Amino acid sequence: MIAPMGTRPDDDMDETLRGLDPAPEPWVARAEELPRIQRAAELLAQRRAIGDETAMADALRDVGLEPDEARMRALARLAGHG
Amino acid sequence: MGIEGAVSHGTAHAAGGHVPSAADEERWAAIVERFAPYVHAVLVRAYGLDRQRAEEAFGEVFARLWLHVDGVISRNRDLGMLVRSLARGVAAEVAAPGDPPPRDDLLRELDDALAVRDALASLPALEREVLVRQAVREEEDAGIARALGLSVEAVAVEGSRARRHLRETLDSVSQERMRAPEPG
Repeated sequence: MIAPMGTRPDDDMDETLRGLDPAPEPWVARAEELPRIQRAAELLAQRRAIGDETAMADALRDVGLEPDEARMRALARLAGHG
Repeated sequence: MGIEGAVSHGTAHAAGGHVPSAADEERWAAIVERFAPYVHAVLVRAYGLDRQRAEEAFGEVFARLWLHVDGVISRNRDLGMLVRSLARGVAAEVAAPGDPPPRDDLLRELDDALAVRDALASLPALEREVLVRQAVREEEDAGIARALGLSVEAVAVEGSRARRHLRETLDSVSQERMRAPEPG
């Protein structure tokens, strides 16, 4: 039985504070890229080239991201083609 | 309004999203930093996903969160509930039929840990600094006092005050959670 949080003694609260380890840095970095991929999706929309893999790769490069499979997939999704 | 609610939405485009500004990018990074440890722990520790599936699921949780940010998020706590729901939902989707069930006890502990971290962020800076040094880094009060230019007695007072404020915040969070349905 887990005590309601507010009634926990200090030791339990301190243990809880230590309870979340950092996520792997590469995973975090990928998640943080989403706004830039969204900008790439906007570039694609302006160029009306959604679905054109070369254009998609160029859009990613234009926002400073090197194209790879995961980024292309994310871009297609944010551009409405995923 | 919390930081999530402050994510602005610029020019709408054909895909129905928005063009994020540099400020949005910073705010999003703060959101990712806030929730990444929790999402990772849910996927790896509570659901026991292997590294490859956990990495895919982790990306999926944040992709869905990004797609949801527009229009759905208005308060910090709403975002916390959404992340809890997304993490569980995506983990359940990628789990294989023979995988063991998720550990409900651990999920509750992780929810508590997230609530504590959020509450910690709401403390006054000095209280937060003292509590992090005491509880997370496990530093001695004498060392904290030297580092912060305080007396040992003041460190003890700040630490006690921080814990009291944290408990008060967690009380209200706990009561809210009891009223809210569990995420699926």
